[in-house]
Amino acid sequence: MSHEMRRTRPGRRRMPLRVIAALLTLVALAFAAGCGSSDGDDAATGGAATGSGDARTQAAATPDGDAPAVGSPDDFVSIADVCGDEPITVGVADGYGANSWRKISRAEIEEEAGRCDAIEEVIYTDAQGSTQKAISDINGLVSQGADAIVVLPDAGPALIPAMRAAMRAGVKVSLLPADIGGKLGQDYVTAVYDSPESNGRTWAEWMVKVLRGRGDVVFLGGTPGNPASPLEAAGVREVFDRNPGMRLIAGPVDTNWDVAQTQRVMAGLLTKHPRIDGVISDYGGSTIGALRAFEAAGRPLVPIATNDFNELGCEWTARDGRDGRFELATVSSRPWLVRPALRHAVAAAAGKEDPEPSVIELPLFEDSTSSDARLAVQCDRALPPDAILSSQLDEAAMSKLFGG
Amino acid sequence: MRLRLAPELRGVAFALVLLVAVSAVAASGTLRGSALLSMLPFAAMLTIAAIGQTLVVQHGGLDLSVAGVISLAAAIVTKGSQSLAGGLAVALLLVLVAALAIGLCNGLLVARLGITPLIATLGTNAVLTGVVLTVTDGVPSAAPQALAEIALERTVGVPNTVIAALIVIAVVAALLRWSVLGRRHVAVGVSVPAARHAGVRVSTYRVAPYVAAALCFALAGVLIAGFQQSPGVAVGNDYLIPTVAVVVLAGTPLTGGRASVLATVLAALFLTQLDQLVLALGAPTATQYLIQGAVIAVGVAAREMSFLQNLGRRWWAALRRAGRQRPSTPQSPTTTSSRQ
Repeated sequence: MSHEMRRTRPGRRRMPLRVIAALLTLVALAFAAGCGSSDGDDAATGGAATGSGDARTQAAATPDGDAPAVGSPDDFVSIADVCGDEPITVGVADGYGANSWRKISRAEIEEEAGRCDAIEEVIYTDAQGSTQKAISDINGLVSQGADAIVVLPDAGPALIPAMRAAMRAGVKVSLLPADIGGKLGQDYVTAVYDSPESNGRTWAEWMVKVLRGRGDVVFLGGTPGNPASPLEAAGVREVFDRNPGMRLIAGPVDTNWDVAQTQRVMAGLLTKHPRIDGVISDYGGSTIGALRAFEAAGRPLVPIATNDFNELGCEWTARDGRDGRFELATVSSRPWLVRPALRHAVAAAAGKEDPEPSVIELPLFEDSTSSDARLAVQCDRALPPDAILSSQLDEAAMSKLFGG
Repeated sequence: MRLRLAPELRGVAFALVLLVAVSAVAASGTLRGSALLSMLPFAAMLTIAAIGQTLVVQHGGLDLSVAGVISLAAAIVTKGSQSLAGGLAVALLLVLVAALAIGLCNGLLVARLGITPLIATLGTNAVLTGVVLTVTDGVPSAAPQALAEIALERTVGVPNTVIAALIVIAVVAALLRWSVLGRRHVAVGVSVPAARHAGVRVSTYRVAPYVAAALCFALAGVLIAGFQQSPGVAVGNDYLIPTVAVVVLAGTPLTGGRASVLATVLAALFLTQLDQLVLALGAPTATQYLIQGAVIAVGVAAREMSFLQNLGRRWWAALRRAGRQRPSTPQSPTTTSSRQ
């Protein structure tokens, strides 16, 4: 037997090398194709390409303990009501600062802080997409003497220990625009976010109205596994269940909140479904890809419900009054969510009670079917395509922000 | 009539035909004119970038700066058209200069300083990502209307992006096949010492592919910018792995040597149509990736068919030897007789 083994060995020794090489190639390729062909770089997609989309990836369940107050933007208070007398320093820990949504958010929070005399300084940090830097930014803000910190938690639950340490050191932490599953009162004082179910219901109700209660609708979601899209889809289903003529025929379909991927996904849906009467999408920026797919397929555009995005508004405006126009409704992309988040943190630092809701149900911001001028579709070509016109900054502040 | 295909084309052509057949059965809608017209621009842009990658891989290199160059070209052409005095024309000129500089830098790092291509281009890519963020300030700009129209419109029914790809294919294929330049490029790719002995100025020919590749990437970046209208600041990242996958599917060995531009084109078509087919089937994302990964693995494995046959024969022989060593094992006489 041992003789036999020795005899066959030389042949075998060459074989495993080639086998391993071939298998490695296959595995690597399989992996490469899986990750690369359509999903690209996760961090970059989450941060840069999707604009406001990144932070919404973590709209998680409500924290333990008492349920957070739900309300509309009408319930907001003025920062003067919650601003204390003792001078305080505010920190803003941004997870990824390089897109228009974040730029607007930063300007909004600085403007809001300017209205409270007790706030002596606003220290802004940008983690540039790095989890490690995001953690050390929060620690750094604490050691720089911040009394209140507003966190945009792109890095997700990895930030909870740093936030807990800050809270233990007596710093009041608030987050937006999502909850990352920490413990209310222990890891942060408030998580401010817009209710995904409410967004789904708002889009679906508009869709029912514009399609007169009868139609097949697709729902375009975001990255695979993001918690927000399924919750929004649940809101859509809730409304469609009450309207038997309405069907959600696909969704949430993953688009990575990316224009090019949305175009491909929509082209696929158009191939699969000969009839699509409406599109609901949870990111206005990538919805332009869906428009392209309809046009490339030579199919007439259908009503679209999503959130506001300058370029989408401009696409609507360019087609308004011509053949191939479409109906559009949006809820706000809410870059102003930093304001209530700041107020909650400042109130906590001043030992005051902030009566505002922390879970916001957004009303429609634009509605092309409405005759109400306040709901008119907006487009500003002087601003970047990914600018958010539902910002609470005024026109002058916006054009100053973008160097106009 | 007998169809004769160059040997390097057979594998990928077979895979593509198979994919088209599967598409016809599983989702015939993906083969309709309108579906093809929306698929082709993606294939065209991938083809242009992949041809650049092919040229580098032919020399045993790998250009990972493809992501950075595409993003940078898109950033310059969008931001530049808005802020530069000359508008689109000046921006395009700037893209050209940037591509030449990047290609030259990559080439010199690899050929002159002897840095491994993987490391050199990875470094360049990191630098380019930084430059893109500096140029754009992290905020994407809209592509000029003229460029968007060029990238989105069709000429006599053919998308302009496809026409651009056809021009690149024709130029590169013709250069490689019929020009002295191309022949020397291939010679250096096959063997540097042999090329040197044949009197080829090897160092120049080792730098050139990186320059040509950067030009291809930049052209792809400009078209992508026009096509997407407001490309994200990391738009090139989506092209990093697919360009390499296309090159490998096309049968170009990563160790360098001969390559076929036409095979690259077919592989790009294959990958894009596969994407579209899987999307049209409406599979969830996880399944999409599994199918894509498996199909590419099988595609590459099919090219290794002769190797697999070899392997099978050896295992069979080993099995038979093992069988002979143990005469107590019952053996069917028909098997032994048919084998002998």
